[in-house]
Amino acid sequence: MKKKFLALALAGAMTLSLTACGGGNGGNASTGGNGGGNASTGSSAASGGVNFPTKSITMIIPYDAGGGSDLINRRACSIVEQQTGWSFTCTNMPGGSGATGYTELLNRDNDGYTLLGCTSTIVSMKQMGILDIDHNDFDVVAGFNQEICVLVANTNWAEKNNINTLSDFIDYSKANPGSIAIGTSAVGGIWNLDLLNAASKTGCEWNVVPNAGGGARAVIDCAGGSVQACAAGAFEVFGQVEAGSVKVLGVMTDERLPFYPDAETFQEAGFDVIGATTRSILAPKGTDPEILTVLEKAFMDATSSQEFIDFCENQGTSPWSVSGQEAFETYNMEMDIYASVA
Amino acid sequence: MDMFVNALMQVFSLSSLPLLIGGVGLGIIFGAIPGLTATMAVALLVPFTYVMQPAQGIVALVGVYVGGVYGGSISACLVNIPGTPASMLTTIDGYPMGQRGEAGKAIGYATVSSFVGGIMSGVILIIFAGQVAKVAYQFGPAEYFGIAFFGLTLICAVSGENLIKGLIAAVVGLMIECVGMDPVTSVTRYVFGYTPLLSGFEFIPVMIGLFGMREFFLQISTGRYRFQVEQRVGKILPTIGELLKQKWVMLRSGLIGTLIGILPGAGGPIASFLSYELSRSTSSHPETFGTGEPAGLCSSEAANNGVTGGAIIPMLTLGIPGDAVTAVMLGAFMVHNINPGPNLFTSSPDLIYAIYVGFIVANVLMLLYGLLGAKLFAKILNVPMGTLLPGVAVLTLIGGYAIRNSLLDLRVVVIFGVLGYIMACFDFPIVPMVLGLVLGSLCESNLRSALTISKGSWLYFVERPISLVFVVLGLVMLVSPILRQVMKSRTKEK
Amino acid sequence: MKKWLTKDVCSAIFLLLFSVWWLWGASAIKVQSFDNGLAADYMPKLLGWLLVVLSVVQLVLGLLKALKGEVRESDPVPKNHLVMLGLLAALVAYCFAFKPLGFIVCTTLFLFGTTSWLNDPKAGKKDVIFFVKQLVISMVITAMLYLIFAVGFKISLPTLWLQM
Repeated sequence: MKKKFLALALAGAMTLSLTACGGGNGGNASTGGNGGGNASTGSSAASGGVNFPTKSITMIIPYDAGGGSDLINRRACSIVEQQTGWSFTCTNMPGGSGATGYTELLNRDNDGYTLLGCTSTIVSMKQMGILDIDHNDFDVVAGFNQEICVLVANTNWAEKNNINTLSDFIDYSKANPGSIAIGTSAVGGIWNLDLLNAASKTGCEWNVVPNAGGGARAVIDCAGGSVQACAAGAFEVFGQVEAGSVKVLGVMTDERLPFYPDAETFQEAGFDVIGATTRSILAPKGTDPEILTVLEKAFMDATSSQEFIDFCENQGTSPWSVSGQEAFETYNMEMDIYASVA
Repeated sequence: MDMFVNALMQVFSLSSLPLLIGGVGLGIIFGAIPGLTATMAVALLVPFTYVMQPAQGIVALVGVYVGGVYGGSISACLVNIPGTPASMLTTIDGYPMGQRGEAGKAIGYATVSSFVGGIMSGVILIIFAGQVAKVAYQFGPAEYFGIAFFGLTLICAVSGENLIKGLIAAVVGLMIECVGMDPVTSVTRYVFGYTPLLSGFEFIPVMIGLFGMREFFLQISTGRYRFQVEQRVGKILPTIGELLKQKWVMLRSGLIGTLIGILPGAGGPIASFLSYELSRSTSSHPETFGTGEPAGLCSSEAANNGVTGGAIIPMLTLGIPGDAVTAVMLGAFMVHNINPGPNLFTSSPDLIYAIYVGFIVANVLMLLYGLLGAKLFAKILNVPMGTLLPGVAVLTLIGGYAIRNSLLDLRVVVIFGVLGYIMACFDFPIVPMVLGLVLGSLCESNLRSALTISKGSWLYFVERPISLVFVVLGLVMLVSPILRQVMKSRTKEK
Repeated sequence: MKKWLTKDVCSAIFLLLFSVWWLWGASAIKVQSFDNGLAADYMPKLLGWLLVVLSVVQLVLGLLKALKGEVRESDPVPKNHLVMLGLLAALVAYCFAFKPLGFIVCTTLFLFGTTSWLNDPKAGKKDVIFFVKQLVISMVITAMLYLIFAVGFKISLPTLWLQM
């Protein structure tokens, strides 16, 4: 009887220690398990001076799994992994349009092993008074994606009212103030802020209809005709544009988008309206600048690869491969826009 | 027609079939573990489908979906914890059946009902996808509000004697939903500066706490765990005769599930609730419901699997998700650079057919898994409760945590477990509360969006035909208890 | 006096107090100027008032029932308060120790504690062998769970020696 228990106890202890050493994607510090081994061989070539990374990097994604931000972020990480041999553990921590994740990152070590993929809500949350932190409280590693805010209209409605271009739309709006219902994201959401910015710059009066969450719902409502137009992300409207139920009228960027070639930019119509959500990688403040440089290079290489460019353009989102500094300055610019309308 | 044959060959090919088999199995496992859901399983698998061909990957995800919704019934019957939100109603009759020693039968009923519901929705999917889908386009904020309103008023209609307590539970459920950033204007409500609460309470941990953790407390407090239930060996599955007796229930519930699935935003919980209550009120022996009545079990399970095929319709044809899982599946389409919508039928008909065939095959696989595994599943109850219960408790805790790696969620499981227990002590039902939670945000945010469009005019809801229908139905439900009282007193006088 | 304090009456009073607190919270909601749709505090206020009405109704009905002496024999009455409290304490401890001590340690301890308590050994007395058996079972279950979740499903669980 006693022997049986001893055997069972031994078995249990062995299993436990095996799982501790061999398993776990959280990273293996001392014993150098599977993930760690891979990393060290890859990194010594890429990092040059500093020995980074030696283990798996955690990437916090403050959005729901399967959503736009999540997919683009994960794709970028997987390309980095392919190119450098590093290992990422992507963890979803949705909540408060990113607020949960941003707050979490504040409490993490700045050793470079915990990163976060953010959107422009890092800037807007402070302007809205929801959070006390913004991009100034983190180190921006690199920018990897921009999703441009676009204005679409329900195709049938647009045909009925002879609205074919952005200028037509603006003229109609001025002739019938307050009559057009434009769906968009929740108050304080990026598209909502961009729409308000557009309204003030063009001098139009629109009935802004906020929706819970991002622009996805707004696009569907527009396709169905409950609202006549909608302001959402280029990625979010893509499906319905392909289906022909909505028509892109204007894009809030300085050059026409390759996947919506017939849509004017607001600047072409004569109004200085820029709107986008800028996605970049954040690290806790005070991270070693050498590590930041290594990370920045890795992400910029990945996001300028053909694979990433193809992936983005096939969804209607814009590949963007910029340094941390440039991303930071973009956030400063957005901060001014949001401050003026929030 | 040869499209069909091609699709058949594609699905049964050596590269695809194992993926589908594995997918359904994985889905069942995820579904059966409280805290892990079909949505999670699909979300976790999406990146894996990068390397697969679109047809393979998406068909595998469909398999996971089908398996996941079914899997929830296993834990519902065995340990009174719904593995997925859609199986909440299955616990009501599935668990008592298991406690009577008929766990195998319960699982057998659940499996066959799920199969019937799934196949029915598959048939409707294949035949009617194009036409039916157009309805989904008509759904704007007013219609969504209509559905939510109707769903909530159902509580009035079915609570019977416990009306006040049921209503209170529903109101509290709605209140819980209000906590957090207001979805429309992002104003913080009842957050008191606690950042993890910014997006409110995550539904799954609350559900696991209310059902799972509470069950744990109840078992311990009543000492129920000391009694080992003897499982009847031998005729462990229900006989063909017993199954056939429930055929109309299954077919009807499957249809209800499919229709609800087609409506974007409405999903498993609503469908199973509706069909359960319908079965109960039209039954000749309503008092047996809740004691292990097969009809109750079958209505719930057929309905929730009926939702699967229904939800795929708007996803495929319009790119509008029918429920949470299909929303994630849309992401999978994006990964493969495919855009669901009306064009999909003309641009990739082979994919469509593969999905049709894959869906049917997935249901068949689910049936096989379930029937073959029933004995095995039932054996789980042979584990001494003193060990099974803590194990399940730990599962619920991890499950709650794992949704979004949140310590708050972990605590929510415990907190709501305590709440659920207290509610049980004071005779408050939990199902209305959960309905309030499920429908709360749907109700509120759409109400406000609709009123914004109409610039404050409440007539908006009656101007639009579909929402008018729901509003009227809802009002009927609201006054039904009064109507019933009136009718009762009339018959008394006679 | 005791006759009046039936379960229904007690819960009704509690709910009434809760709804008062809730309405106070609703008034603290910062409402933005929003022309068309309803403001953020509409729903909370509506619900708060609904609850007030409902709990008053329940209170009245409960008092009436108590008057008539119709007090039913109630269902699951907690018999063993001590066990329940101990269990709750264990769960609370688990929640708080989860991040610092990690999944493996916490789960093993929790399982060990609960299975030892709840299980009745065949021998009749809980001796050392019984506890060792429970400990081993706990460790094995924890290991299995860890394998399934952390390795199989790649869900990051905090552990003592790894940062999550």
